[in-house]
Amino acid sequence: MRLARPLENLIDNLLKLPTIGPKTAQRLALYILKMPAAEARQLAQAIIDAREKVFPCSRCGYLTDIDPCFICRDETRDTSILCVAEEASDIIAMERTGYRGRYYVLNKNFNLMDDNNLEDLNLDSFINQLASGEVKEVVLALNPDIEGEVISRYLAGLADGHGVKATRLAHGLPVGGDIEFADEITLRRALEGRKEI
Amino acid sequence: MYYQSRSLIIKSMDYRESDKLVTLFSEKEGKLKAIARGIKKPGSSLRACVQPFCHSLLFFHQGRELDLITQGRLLDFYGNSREDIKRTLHCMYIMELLDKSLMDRAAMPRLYGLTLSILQYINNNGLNHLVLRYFELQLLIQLGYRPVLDKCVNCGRQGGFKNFCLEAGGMLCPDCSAGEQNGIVLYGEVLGLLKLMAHGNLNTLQRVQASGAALEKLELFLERYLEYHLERRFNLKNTIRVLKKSLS
Ligand SMILES: [Zn+2]
Ligand SMILES: [Zn+2]
Repeated sequence: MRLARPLENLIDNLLKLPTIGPKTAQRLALYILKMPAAEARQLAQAIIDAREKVFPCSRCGYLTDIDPCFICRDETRDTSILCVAEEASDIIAMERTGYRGRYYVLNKNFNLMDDNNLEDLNLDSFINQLASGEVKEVVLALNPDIEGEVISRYLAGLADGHGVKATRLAHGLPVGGDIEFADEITLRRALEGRKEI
Repeated sequence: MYYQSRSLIIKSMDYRESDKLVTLFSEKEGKLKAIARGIKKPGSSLRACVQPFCHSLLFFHQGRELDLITQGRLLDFYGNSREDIKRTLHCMYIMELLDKSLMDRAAMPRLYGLTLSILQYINNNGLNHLVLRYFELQLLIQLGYRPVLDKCVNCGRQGGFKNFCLEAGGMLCPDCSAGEQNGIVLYGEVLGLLKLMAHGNLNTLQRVQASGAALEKLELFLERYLEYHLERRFNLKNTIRVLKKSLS
């Protein structure tokens, strides 16, 4: 069945979003058509605003509309501890834990088998912060996969070069999970990282 | 339609919200890409089965474009290698070689068996550079690039020649190599090791003691041979070099 051109265009653009399949795209498009005109305009404007006004903080890489971001400006934070994460969304998760240090977001684009290099990671601001002498500990909070491990080792080497201690989040079992149902790899990791009580 | 096969996981990439697009080397179907759904959710029973360089029995459902991995059972995750970053990187290098050299959907059961035994060997005995070189050479041989080492590849003359030509895939006699610019000089221990690796098996090889200098030359030679015929660069080697400082 043929659809009106602008409707088809809207569906095609929604389809580019993650997790949106053809059916969802069509449902969303039809919903937008039924919205009051002002609301639809607001939605469009919100997309444009966010796209134009939000950028990575020059100091930590967190997404912000002021530079440095509110975390980097916050003087009550512990500046001796620097948590490195892969994506801005990881910071949102870390913030919920009550962590009160600073961050460094890699916004990483490193895949082991692709034509890229550890030395091409954007680390200028990270290295400057190590060199400033203020940071006493780097907490590596990268994803527990092989790439995360490789980048962690590399960053730990850089920290070591500046005489800064590097630590890594423990790999272990999810709270509330059953050991019985844990997979072998996770369980072995948890065993490696066991703690004396 | 459903099918099942033992498989080695080459890599997995994010795909949609909580799915992964898994590249794997299956025993029955060769290299293929398939979707594993819901992998990022906690408690996914498939998650461990589709981690890189795991050996798993996987159950597939044929899809219109991509097949779906419906179930899996982890057969081996090479735990000793996995907790050692050096071994992990070299196992990933083996996966990268497979990724960049195998054709899609072409079963290679002998290479499959060899890869398993190499991963097993590294897991049980630690890194052995000669064993890695053996894998590279055997991979090339299985792909149809067996180097001709004991006669001239061009005219067939028998003899101990020293000039290896990448393009011809073998040694050249002095007559045939006249004017040849890109020859690689191969002789002595390095050539001996190559011959041994071309015909020997893993058992004989692990008892061989090779000098550091010969191993280094062998590595360089095979790197050039691989890159020439596969026309790909191997990124893991580079990462291993960059990390070497923090690894030692
Ligand atoms: Zn910031
Ligand atoms: Zn000849």
